[in-house]
Order: sequence, then structure tokens, then C-alpha cells
Amino acid sequence: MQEQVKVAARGTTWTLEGEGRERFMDLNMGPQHPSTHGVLRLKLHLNGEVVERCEPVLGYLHRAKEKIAEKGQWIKFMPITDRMDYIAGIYNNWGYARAMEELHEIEVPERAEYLRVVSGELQRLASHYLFLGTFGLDLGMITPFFYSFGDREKVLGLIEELTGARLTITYFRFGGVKWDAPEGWFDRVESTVDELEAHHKEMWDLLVENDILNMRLRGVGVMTEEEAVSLGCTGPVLRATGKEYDIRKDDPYGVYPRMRFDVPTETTGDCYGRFMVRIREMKESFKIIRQALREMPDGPIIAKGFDGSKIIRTKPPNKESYGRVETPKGELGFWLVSDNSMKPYRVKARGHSFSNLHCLPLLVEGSTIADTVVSLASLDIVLGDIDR
Amino acid sequence: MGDLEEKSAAEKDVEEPGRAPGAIWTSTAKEKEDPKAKEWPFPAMHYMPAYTDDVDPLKEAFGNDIVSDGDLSGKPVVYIHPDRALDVLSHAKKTLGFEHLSFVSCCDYPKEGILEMHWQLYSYSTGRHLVVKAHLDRDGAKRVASVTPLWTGANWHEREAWDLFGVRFDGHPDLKRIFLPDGWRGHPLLKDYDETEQFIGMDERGEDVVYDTPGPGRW
Amino acid sequence: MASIPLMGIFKGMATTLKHLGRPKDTYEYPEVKRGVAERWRGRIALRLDRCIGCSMCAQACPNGSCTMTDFEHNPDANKKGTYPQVEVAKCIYCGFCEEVCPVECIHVTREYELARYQRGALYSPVMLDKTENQIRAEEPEMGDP
Ligand code: SF4
Ligand code: SF4
Repeated sequence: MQEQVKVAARGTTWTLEGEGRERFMDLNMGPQHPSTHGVLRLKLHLNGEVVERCEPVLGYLHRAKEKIAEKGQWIKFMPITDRMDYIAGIYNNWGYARAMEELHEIEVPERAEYLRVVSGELQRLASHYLFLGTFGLDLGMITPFFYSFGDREKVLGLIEELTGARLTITYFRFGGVKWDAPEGWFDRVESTVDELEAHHKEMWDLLVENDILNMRLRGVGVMTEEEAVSLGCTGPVLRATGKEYDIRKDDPYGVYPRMRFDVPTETTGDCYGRFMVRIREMKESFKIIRQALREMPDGPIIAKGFDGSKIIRTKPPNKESYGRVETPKGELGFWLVSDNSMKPYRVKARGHSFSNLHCLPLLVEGSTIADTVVSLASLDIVLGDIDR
Repeated sequence: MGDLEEKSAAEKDVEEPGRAPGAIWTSTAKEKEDPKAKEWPFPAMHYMPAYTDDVDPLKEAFGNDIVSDGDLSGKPVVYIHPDRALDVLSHAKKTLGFEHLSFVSCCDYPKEGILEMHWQLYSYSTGRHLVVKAHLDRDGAKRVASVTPLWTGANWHEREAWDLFGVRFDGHPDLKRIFLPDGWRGHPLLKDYDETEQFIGMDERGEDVVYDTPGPGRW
Repeated sequence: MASIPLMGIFKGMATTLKHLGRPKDTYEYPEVKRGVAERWRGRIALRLDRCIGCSMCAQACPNGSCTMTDFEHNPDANKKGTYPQVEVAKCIYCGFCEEVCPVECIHVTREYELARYQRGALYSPVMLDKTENQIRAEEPEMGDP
């Protein structure tokens, strides 16, 4: 038995086949679906409500960034990296700057590294606040969305004061940062962090202690450590399976060797674990920001010869490098190939979400559509990074 | 400033009330300070010389299949014969412990007539990097073995390399374009890619179709 | 996990109640406008008298929205007679042009309400010297329909 149901929506054909209680159906989730956080399309093959096969289809946001990079001078790719993971733009800058600093052997001044840590951890908070808000929204809770976006607004306000923009930040330069902190900014960061920490406790009460949330998340979208490693998952998705791995600790860069913080891990490997790792990581960010503010040294903020109008004249030697940073979502790396000219020969971005999303079929096959939405939300992907 | 430090130390001891059973609090924070960490710039950080500990065993095991070795800004590189890619990478993963494959990609050198494959590996246990490279003939068949049997995560990276460079991976479960629609002409990251515009439309089932000319419903 | 059932729900309710008395985080936008930071990177503007026509800004622009055009204004300072023009709809507000300008001529302003009914608004050097409100008043066809 086979019947075809044509739906009015363009391009959607549902095929129903099978006998009795077995009803198979092909369903397109996305590209315009509120729970996919962008233009991700999932081709689902359903048996009743159970997902039999899931195939993510990418490319709806492909902007050919790696080709764009080859067209201009090295620094001109810096504002373009902002648009990759637009939730945490500073980390894209950081990854690119770190790769360049290894390529060109630039020594970054100490104060610049501290400013990078403070702004970066603020950005990590902003990214995790966005996760908490939209994660609640995907589960059907609307309240945490408002609270976490209120807090994110405060963080973005600080970033705006420092850099002049809220999302597309372009704060880093090769060998340092663009701006020093404005008057009184460190005090404002400190008071905001105190306030956010108090709010974080409330968030904890609201979310972690919520029985309904606990019941909803436990055992959904389970992945083991071996699977996560083999799939190349990084960041909270990997740490939720029990692997204690954080590039800030294990392959440190900047002043992170001096920072004292813990790497939160969970052993469950399910949606609950991924959610808990993120909400606990925020506390570590508060710690790191406080320590960085305490130790903030004086001095220059950019290496000599890389400031002002010299930014467009960077000419690295004929080498290659791979620099990576721990973003809120995982490992972001840039592989640069230089042929001793002012333009990149090849830039490759290793996206965190690109590798993390790859585990989705593993998480959702055999579960229901409702759980698919939860699993997808718990991966905290951003499509700008996947499609590039 | 002083009381801030006390506050955060005191907070550390507060047990989280709603903590899940089974959730562990790791305490890796190194309270004893590394004296080296006070120096600036860190001597051992950015520009370490390439360590040969991992290159030598590979050379021993594979002899002439390791063409040469090099250095990628502090990370060791081995150039291998493309036919032995799967063997070398499986040796690197299973014997030398490089469990993490960051990415698989290529770089095009039209002047030399080669397409350079690049596998970026990292070992969780030893914290070392290893880069494996192989030179394919740019105008030839451009075939290399897929590493999906070793790392499932290589699947999408190899699809990306096929999409943007036109490298065929033997043994890949589902080698098709990942970003661009099927039917796209050319592989954009090759240096001699023809940049004329192509237009994408949609067929009845919602799959993409590529056209040469603009028209209604194409962009 | 809370041993008493529904304990978490009550805690959540208490949090929600606490939030009732807090100040609002949102603005009623068209009436109340949010101030922007001192360093805000908004629309590009020009201090026309200072420009020396060195074309650094056009070289630094990542996407070619800032280009040089022939224009007679102040031959003492600018002997070449070339000034930058900016395609504001294409500009990505990176601020590189400001960063490389040797005489602080091209700069970012704090104007951010740049929505238009038409794309491709190309701002000539003269327009770049004015504020957004002046431009809208003088050339209404570029602004409201
Ligand atoms: S801000 Fe950036 S994109 Fe805009 S005109 Fe200046 S350099 Fe070009
Ligand atoms: S605006 Fe500044 S950078 Fe641009 S041409 Fe004039 S002086 Fe040179």
C-alpha cells in the first residue's frame, strides 16, 4: 500500500507506506523551523512518531568564507570570521589571531592577553546565556528565556563599551587587541559579574532544581565517550560524556596557564549532562574574570609593528600553522597557509558546530520527534559556523 | 581586591544543592603555581620546535612510505605516500594514540601540479599534535582512502573536501556534496575554479537544481 | 534532586516572584531609544577638509564598500582630487578605514538607524560630511518612499 499526500507547502511530499500500525513517512524539518536555530534542514524518515533515519542537510548558509579569505589581505578576513559563529564572535577572532601569531611568531603583550581573557570569558557567558534561554524555549519554558536574555544584555553592554559592537566585534588584531579598556570599565565588569553571579544562583534554582526539566532531559540523546571521540565532538558535548578535555588547560594559549579554574564534566552523556556542563562552566567564567581583573598588568596592548595602518601590511613567512582555541561550543581551529605574500594562500576553519552536529543522527535515531528537538537544542549549534 | 579572593575561595566549598548523583566535581585547578607561569612570554608556549618522538616510530614502521617530514609552526608533519594513507593513519591512531582527528582538508598548488591532503591529529593522552600530509596528482584521478573506518567524524570533513576540492575518498559511505547542491559545476576552492554565476532552483521534492541562467524561483 | 516532590517548582515560582519587582530590561523602541557606547561603530562619515586623498581607507576595506572617486573640494590638502565614497548598505562596520586613516578624516559615527527602502545607497564624499538627518531631509528619494 502506498499513498502520496501532497501538501500545499511547496516542495513537501509526504509518502505514507506500510501496513497496519507501521506507517512510514519522510518529513523535512527545516530549513525554516524555529527549533533549528538557523537554516538547518533535517530529513527525517519516520515510523509513526519514531525517527528511523535522520540526515542533516547543510549548505543553506554557505557563504564561501574560505574563498573570500584568499581574495584580500590577511587582516581583511578578521571581520569575516566574526560572522562565522556569530554568537561568540570574539573566539573566532581569537582562533584566527592565534593561528597568525604562531605563523608569524608574534609576541603578544601581557596586557593584551589579559584583555583577551576578560573579553573572551564575557563572550563565553553571553553564549551560554543564549543557550540557556533558547534551550528553555525549545523545551517549552518561556521564562528562562527572558531572564537569561536580560543577563546577556548586560554582558553585551560591557562588550559594546569595550569594542564598539555587540555581535560582529572585530576586536582582535594580529599581536594584540584594538582597544584598551575605557575609563572605569574594569569596575563595571566587576560589579556586573557580582550581579550575574547572584542571578546565576536564581537560574540554578529555576532550571537545575526543576523536577520537570530533570525528568525531561535525563536519558535523552545518550552518547558514550568513545563515540564522541570518534565523531570528533569537542567542548561541552565531549565533556558531558566524561572526557575531561579543555584546550584552555590541555593545550593552553595566552595567559590561561596562570588562570585557576576547574573543567566541569558529567558522566551521563545525555542532554542533561550537556546542559549541566554549560551551566557549571559559567561559574568558572566568573572565577576567571575575577582573577584576570585582579592580575591585570599595565603595558602596551598590541605588538610593535602591527598597529595602526600597518594592520593591512602583514606579510608572514612562507609557512603553515594551525591555531585553535576553546570556544563556548568546542574546538575552533584555523589552518593557515602562507606563500610569503600579503594575501592568504589558504585558510581553513575547523568549525566546532560542524563536528558537533555530526553526532545528531546517532543521538536521535530511535527516539521521537519531540526528543529530536531537545537533542538538537542541547548540542548548541550555530549554523554560521557549520556552513561557513 | 583582597576580600574578593576570599569570597571566591569560600564559595568553592559550598555544595550545590541540586547536584545530580553521579555528577562529579573535578578539581584540576592547580593551586600550586608553576614558577614558569610567571615568566612572560612563556618560553615553551608558542614556538616549540617540532618533537620527533612520534615521527621516528612512524618512519621505522613504514620505511620508504614516509616521504619526508617537516614542521608546521611547532607541530610535526609527515609526508606520506597517498596509497598508504589508511595504514599510516590507523597506526597513528591505534599504536601512537592520536585519537582526535581535528579535520581533513586540502590545499591546491597548481604550479607544482599537486593537491596536498592534510590530516590534523591530536592525542588526548600525551597532548601532542601530528600532521599527516600526502601529495595527490592534481590532474589525475585524485583518489585517496577514506578514514571513516577509523574516525566516524571524518565523514563530513571528507564530503567537504570532495565538494570544495574534488578529491574522491575510496570507501566513504556516502560521498556527495555537502554545502553546494548536487549538479554544481566545478570545485570552488581549486585555484583555477571558473567563477561564473550559477543559479539554484528547487524541484518538486524540495531538492536543489542548478541552472546556468536566472529565472523565477532561482537565485 | 529535590526529595520533596514539587519543591523545585516552588523554588522556581519564588525566583519568578523575585523578578517581579526588578526594573525592566527592555525599551519601547521608537519612543525610547537605547543609548549606544562611546566607541559604537555606526555609519561612516568624513571630515571633508582634512582628507589628503591617500586612498588608505579604500585599500583597507574588506569588501570594497569604500572606494575612491574624483571630486574637487580642497586642493590645498588633497592635490589628487580623490575622495572616498562609501556604499553604506554594503559596509560591514569593521572600522578598518578609520584605523588606517593617517589624518583622522574618515571615521565612524554613532548613528545606527540606517534602514532604507532602497538598497545600494552610495554616499558621495559630500554626503559623508553630513549627518544622517540632513541627508534624509535633502534627498528624500533615498529615504522614505
Ligand atoms: S567600516 Fe569597514 S566595510 Fe565599512 S567602509 Fe570602513 S573599511 Fe569598509
Ligand atoms: S579618508 Fe583618510 S585614508 Fe581615506 S583617502 Fe582621505 S586621508 Fe586617506
